[in-house]
Amino acid sequence: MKVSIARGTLLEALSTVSRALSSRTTLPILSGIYLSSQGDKVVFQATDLEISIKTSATARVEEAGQSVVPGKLLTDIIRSLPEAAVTIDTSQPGTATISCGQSNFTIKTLSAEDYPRFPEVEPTDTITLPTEVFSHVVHQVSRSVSRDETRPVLTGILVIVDSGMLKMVATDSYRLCVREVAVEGVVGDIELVVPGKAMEDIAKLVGSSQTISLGVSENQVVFSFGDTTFISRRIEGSFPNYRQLLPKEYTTRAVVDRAELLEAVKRVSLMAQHNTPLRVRISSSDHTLTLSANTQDVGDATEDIQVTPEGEDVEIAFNHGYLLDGVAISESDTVAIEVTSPLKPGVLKPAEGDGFVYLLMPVRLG
Amino acid sequence: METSLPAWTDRAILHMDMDAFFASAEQLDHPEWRGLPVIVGGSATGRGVVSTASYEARRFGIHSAMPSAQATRLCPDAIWAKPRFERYHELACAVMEILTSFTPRVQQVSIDEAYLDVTPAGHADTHPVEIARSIRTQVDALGLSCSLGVATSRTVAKIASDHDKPHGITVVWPGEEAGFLAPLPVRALPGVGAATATRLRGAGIRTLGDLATLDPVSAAALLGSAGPDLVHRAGGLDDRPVGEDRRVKSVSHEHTFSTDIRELPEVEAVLRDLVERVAARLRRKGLAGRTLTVKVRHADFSTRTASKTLEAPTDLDTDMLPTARALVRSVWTPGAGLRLLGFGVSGFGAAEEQLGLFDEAPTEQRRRARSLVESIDRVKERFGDDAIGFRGPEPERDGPDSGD
Repeated sequence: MKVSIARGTLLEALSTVSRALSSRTTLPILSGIYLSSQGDKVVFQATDLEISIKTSATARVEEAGQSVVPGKLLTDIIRSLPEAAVTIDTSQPGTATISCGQSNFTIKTLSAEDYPRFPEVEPTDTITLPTEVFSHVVHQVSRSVSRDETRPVLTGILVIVDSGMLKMVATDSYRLCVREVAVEGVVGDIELVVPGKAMEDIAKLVGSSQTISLGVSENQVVFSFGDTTFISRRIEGSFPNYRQLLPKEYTTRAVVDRAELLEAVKRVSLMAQHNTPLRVRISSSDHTLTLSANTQDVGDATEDIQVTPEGEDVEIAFNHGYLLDGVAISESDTVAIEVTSPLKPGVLKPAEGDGFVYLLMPVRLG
Repeated sequence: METSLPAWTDRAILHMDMDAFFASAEQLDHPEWRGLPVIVGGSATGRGVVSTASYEARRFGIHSAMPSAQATRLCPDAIWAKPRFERYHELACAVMEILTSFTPRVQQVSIDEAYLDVTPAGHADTHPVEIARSIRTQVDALGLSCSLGVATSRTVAKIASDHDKPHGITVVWPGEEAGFLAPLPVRALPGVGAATATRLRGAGIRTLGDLATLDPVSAAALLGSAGPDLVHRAGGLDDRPVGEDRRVKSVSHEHTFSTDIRELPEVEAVLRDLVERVAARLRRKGLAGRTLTVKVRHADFSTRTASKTLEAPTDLDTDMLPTARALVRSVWTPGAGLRLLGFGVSGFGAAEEQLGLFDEAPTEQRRRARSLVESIDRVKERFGDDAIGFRGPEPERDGPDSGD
């Protein structure tokens, strides 16, 4: 194979597929990126057997062929080059020569025959969404995805498309985020759990593409956008019934300016070190929402926010990181905090309207 | 031994003071430094001061708070060690553990000294002097050294502990306080600093005996409001109680091997035993801790510790074992010889707990685990520690199934 390709185009394609590069040393072949030339295109593939990514870029193909090149090294080399045409030549068996201007690199390649075949997915259902909506919703819920592999289903995002609504749900068992948006013109309905990491990767990769399509098969889901195909396994197992977890009522509710709350939480959190919780006291008589934190041997902080709460006075404590995440990803100008008791979940939602609920479990004070 | 000691029926206060604590700790961890002048402090060439000098260094005239440059002049060959307070704190905790095993009435007044109230309550109680000897023996076993004063009050005990340093036990028997104190210079009395001593010297008072005879009015005139109290204490009159410092900061246990052990199953078996002992003690004391610490001493005497803080406080061995194992593996490689293995739990602060949305299932499991260990605790209490325990051939999972 001998191809010439613009450095920027090449780097973008390599960066895209690099997200699937495996760090597993037991299968060295997976540390490579599979390159093949077809017509006037170079096709790039990478997989860690959990996800597989394929993308293509226009190139001047002088000689067709394929090769597997160490992915990280190749990407690092291309990134270091100036903006010019790059030639990749694999005609010498076992090596790839990369030339750009006066720079020449020769690197050992891996065997193309040993590279796993790109999975072929035949979707039973396919829907198409505007990428902007897709990646925005992923960004909102992905913070709540669990990193704990002991409950695999919680490491995923529940994705539901039904009757023109897109809904995503994530929970790490300490907080739960539900985001629902109406999507014009969406046809079909699906429900599946996709690994949170894959969803985050896709949200970063969609870039300038207008739309993204989701093709769902029994075990896999294929995302297509622009020239890129991203295949992920689906997470099996049933996602917790989140509707059951959402409190039906509250005993105290306070509406707060979101920007003001965000800044206050950030400030007071400075004194919530070593996992000490942040206390939220809502008082109708004082017309205040008070945030406070106290770290032993370090110090404390409090901040009052003027509010007009409804309901009983209450004090509840939260992990400050979880609270901060919730306030940060709410997008309305004002948010409502709803609480029932110090040991029951608290809820953040837009002061008006719906489509977003962030539920967080409290910290029981010692 | 006990029979030769006169009965002690008065109040009995012990003051324990570690000998050249930081320097001894460095010599403990660096066996090649033993017998050599070791100075803990900034550096030989820096502008700092000596924090602690080993007794070998003291022979050159070096003492605490001496400028580094002067110490270097006195002993150019001294070994300088940067202070490692975490390590000293850890050793101090081990010492305090020894003290609290004799009486809960322990007041730690600094990292290396403490008062104990060991007033015998009946004749079955251990004689205060015996307690002092046991403490010294047990501190020796840690590889450190302490001096003790035994007396009827804090002041006299404190002065006594300083009387025969290092490694001394000085007993001031009831009734002998005034005689013991009288010939000592006024500076020996805690609370008398350079300024007070100068003022006293101006009034012709040089010894504690002189000071004790001062009348309260002159004392107040000479020394201000603290005067009368100093006069009383100079005469051995001091009824200040040992302020109990009952806040246990850590619970730990360690084992020194008569011959080094090096195989993983052996190490894991000892670790399991240590974890079980510590967890049982936590349960007995009604404590639950979050921070687990593992300590190993290698064949070359180098000592390493590793700690990890859990999500939530616990008093269950099953919660601790996986982390304890991982910690051991982080500081020890199977095959390498181990002299000592220790395990401890600390972090008993308010038990804040992050609640979870799906908490029910694990709670049931924990309830069963707890009821099991509590039954085991009861059996051990009646029949001894070796009567029952988890002894699976494969120290892998710690579920109730692996025991028999």
